[in-house]
Amino acid sequence: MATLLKNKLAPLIDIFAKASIGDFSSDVPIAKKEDEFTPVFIGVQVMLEVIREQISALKEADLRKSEFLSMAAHELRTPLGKMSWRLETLLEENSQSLQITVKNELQIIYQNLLRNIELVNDLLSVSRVELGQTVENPRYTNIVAVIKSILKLIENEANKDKLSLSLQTNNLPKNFKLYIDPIHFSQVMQNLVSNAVKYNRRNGTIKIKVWKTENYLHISIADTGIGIAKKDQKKIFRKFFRGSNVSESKAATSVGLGLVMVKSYIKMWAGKIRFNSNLDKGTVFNLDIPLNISYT
Amino acid sequence: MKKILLVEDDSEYRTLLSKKLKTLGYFIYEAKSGQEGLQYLKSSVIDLILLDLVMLKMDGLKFYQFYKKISQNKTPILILSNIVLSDKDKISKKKYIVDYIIKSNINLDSLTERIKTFIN
Repeated sequence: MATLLKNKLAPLIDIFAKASIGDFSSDVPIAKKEDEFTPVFIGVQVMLEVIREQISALKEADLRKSEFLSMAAHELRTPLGKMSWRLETLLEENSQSLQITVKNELQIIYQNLLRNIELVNDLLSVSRVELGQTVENPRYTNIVAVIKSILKLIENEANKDKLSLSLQTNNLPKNFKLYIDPIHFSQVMQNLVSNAVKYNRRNGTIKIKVWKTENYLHISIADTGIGIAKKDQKKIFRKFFRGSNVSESKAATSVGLGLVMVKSYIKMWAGKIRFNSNLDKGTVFNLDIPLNISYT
Repeated sequence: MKKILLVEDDSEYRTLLSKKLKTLGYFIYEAKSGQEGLQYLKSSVIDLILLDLVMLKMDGLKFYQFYKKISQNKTPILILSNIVLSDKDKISKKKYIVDYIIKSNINLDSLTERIKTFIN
């Protein structure tokens, strides 16, 4: 009896073995002559077909999402980019002839436009991560060099408030490289460092430390800024959230997407982000990024 | 005089960039589509190609396929586009493509600096 059952069900075992590794392509051989096993075979065949349909529907949906994001990015960026090039040209070509007041107004428009482009980029990054459309392009990346170039970029902004920036690389070997997407890593650091600048106080400090332990790269970014109120601390990784103690003028320069993006990327790398904050004293963000990020 | 082929269907982008590059002393062939770009590629000696991707009449990817067949000295290509990263990765790894720049994310001054590094 047991042998008969085994022989009869043998074709299904093969099909289940393939299905267990995600291959649903084989059909169930259904004998012309009906017997008591026929309904089982037909049942499995129907199940396979339903699964195949669902897989192809999911693939189709994924493709649509990716096309949508591509086009949205293109359509949103195109007019903004043209305006910024035009303004840049206008300001450059007429730097002598423009009235100071007009020139200042145009400068403000130009700066706002650049902010707008940044926002569109943030929005696209967050959407991409959320829709599972992010493509990681890892490379051996000199992370200290990336951080240094961010500090260079932010120098002017920091100088306005007389902030002192420091970077300590503790036990990190010279030319240490981490296998990570350099653009995404740079976006993460840029967001955290620019927050540390933006929400700091005059003559404040920003201390960045990078070190490694057996399995992790650790980065801490400590500022001496306005801090995050206790009641806000649970909410800072929510979309469009801004701290209740953030001044109106500062709030106008962000939409509350930066930290959302930071957290999404770190989660994707199976890392951790934590923070410690005291109101009016400052905030320390701590990142733990695995040294061996797995890319599937 | 170094010669640049600018393949861009958006007249505003094309004019602004072309004007800037001319003031820096480059000679610019302006192509309004991939198709027009190929004509210049066949008939002229070019030092660098600036290529948009999304174009109605023959897009950047199609242009690239023809380019591989007809460009004899494999002029370097710099992609200038506003489409997102996931698309970016597919093409940025291809041969002869020296860089991929998102137009809205760079100002003309920095862009011309980048161009300089590929042409000299």
